[in-house]
Amino acid sequence: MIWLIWRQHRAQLLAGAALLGGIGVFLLLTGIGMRSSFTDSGLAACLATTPDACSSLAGEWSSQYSGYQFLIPLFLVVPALIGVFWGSPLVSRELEQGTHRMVWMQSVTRTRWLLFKFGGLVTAAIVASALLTVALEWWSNPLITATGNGRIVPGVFDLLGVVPVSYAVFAFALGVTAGVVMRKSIPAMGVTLLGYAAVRVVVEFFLRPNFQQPMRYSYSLATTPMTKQTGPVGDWQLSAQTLDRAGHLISNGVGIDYNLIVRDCPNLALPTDAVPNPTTLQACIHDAGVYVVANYQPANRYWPFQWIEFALFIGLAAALVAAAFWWVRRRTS
Amino acid sequence: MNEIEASGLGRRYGARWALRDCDLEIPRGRIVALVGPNGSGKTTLLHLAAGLLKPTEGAIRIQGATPGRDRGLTARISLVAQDVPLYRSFTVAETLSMGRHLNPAWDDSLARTRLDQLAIPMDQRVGELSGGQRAQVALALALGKRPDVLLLDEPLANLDPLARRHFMQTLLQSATDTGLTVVLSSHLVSDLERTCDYLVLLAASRLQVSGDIDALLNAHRVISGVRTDVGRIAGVAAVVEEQHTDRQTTLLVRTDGPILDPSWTVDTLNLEDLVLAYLGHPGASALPPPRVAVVPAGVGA
Repeated sequence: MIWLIWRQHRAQLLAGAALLGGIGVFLLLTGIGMRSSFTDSGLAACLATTPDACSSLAGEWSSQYSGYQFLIPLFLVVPALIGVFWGSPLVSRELEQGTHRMVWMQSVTRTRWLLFKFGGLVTAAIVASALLTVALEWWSNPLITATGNGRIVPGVFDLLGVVPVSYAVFAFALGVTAGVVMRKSIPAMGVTLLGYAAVRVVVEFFLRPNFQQPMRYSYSLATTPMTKQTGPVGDWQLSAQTLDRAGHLISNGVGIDYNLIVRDCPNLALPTDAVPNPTTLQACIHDAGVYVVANYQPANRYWPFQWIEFALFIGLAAALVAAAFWWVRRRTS
Repeated sequence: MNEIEASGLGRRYGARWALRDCDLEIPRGRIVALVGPNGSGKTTLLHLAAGLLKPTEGAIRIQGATPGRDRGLTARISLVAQDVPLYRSFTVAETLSMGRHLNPAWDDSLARTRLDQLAIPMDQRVGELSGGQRAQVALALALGKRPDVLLLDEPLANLDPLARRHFMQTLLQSATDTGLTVVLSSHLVSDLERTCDYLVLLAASRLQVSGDIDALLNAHRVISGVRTDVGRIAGVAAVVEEQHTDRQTTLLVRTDGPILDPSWTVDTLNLEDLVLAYLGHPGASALPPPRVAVVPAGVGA
């Protein structure tokens, strides 16, 4: 059976390996340069000793590599590619060309056949995405450290740790099952792509923010110095509001909406487009007790969230695979 | 025991019955012609026999076991499905290699010798072979696993007449060499007449004729005489087809004894005449008398 799986899918596997190799060489070459300039510019040493005083150095250094920051989202499509090009055709191409009637008549049960086929390629998918994740951990480390964005922030969270492997397994399982049910590879590829994107969006924007109860912080806009007016570095801020002492909304976000603060300080009422006197405004903020309140997930929940999301996607994948096996045994002919 | 037995066998797709009320008893070693128009249920019957499909009602048994359920039976059945599915990117040698890897009883020299005799190049990709060569590769793969029952679904479609004859000759030779039971479907009777010794005729999802071909031909006659209204004729069990011209009446009849009435000229007929007569008259049938049915052990889902 292993001979057959390799012979049948070697072109796909080699194409995937070539793509992975290409990405690996690119990451290695750019990563070496990036890491040495991170050290040579003194940024690494600065962040290690006096992290609060490095912002201009960090900004200068990151601007050099801003192009790479745009590359990062490209890696998010890798699991989708695995699902579309390895998963979807796995069974659907056989059903399309009728070869399942040939291979099922060999002395191997359908279950065993699907087990080897699925097992072989899902192993390849796991290895590929694990290798890519290790490479990305190494490559992106200076970029993440310099920008001060936490690893729990969406876009970074999705590329590191254990979740990329679970995405790959889920996308692959979705592709296989779509192919088994739909029996046509091209429509199955489309469904896999859309289904994968939809599930990821739902988890990222609706489920992950609530994996654990978000934490809240608040500070007074009147009494907190400007430089301290942020939450702890590296957290994932979910939402923020600016309110007055009575709890009336001053702004959705951190800031002052003049039209709303007028309620507290009628003397700020001004003709349209005029800017209030800073002293008057400052006095008003003080009198009204304006403060900021924000919901966030702290940076130290990175690993619990990684494992929760990993378990979620592996669970979904397991359900899809069970459906595919059932369908092949019972429904397909 | 018969090699293939079916009782009350039926398979439904949604609301449409593809095959119904099928009772069959095919002895071991027969070369069976499975004949019927397109959509009459031939492929469904073959897939049920191969275990690719489960019956909606009734049962089918091969060597007393249920295809698709009983372990080990698949190793003794080969199917060459319609349109001869093979992996087109595999070479001929790789196709045989697959057979060796997937079948414990694989006979590599048998498969190789066959293809060598036919001068089919081993390193050629299957997708680049001619239709006849591809059918031969599929047959070699099917025979290499040393089955007891070989099922072929329209293997001759897309083959030119010479390739058809060649295919049938090589098939017949292996069948007689090994005592294989072969079921071969086709909608063209002329291809099968020389080779097959047993007829199964399906029409509109039902079994219409089944039996030994020589016995069937012996039991049928074409009789003609002066135009008349057909009444009772001694020796005639049933009239399958009747044709009248201004002056003459011609009947294709199933007999139950000699026709001695001198007003009729009695002629024998060939398989094609017989099949066409039954296909033209779906109400007529020629089936062995019902016997004790196979016990349908657990009607499959």
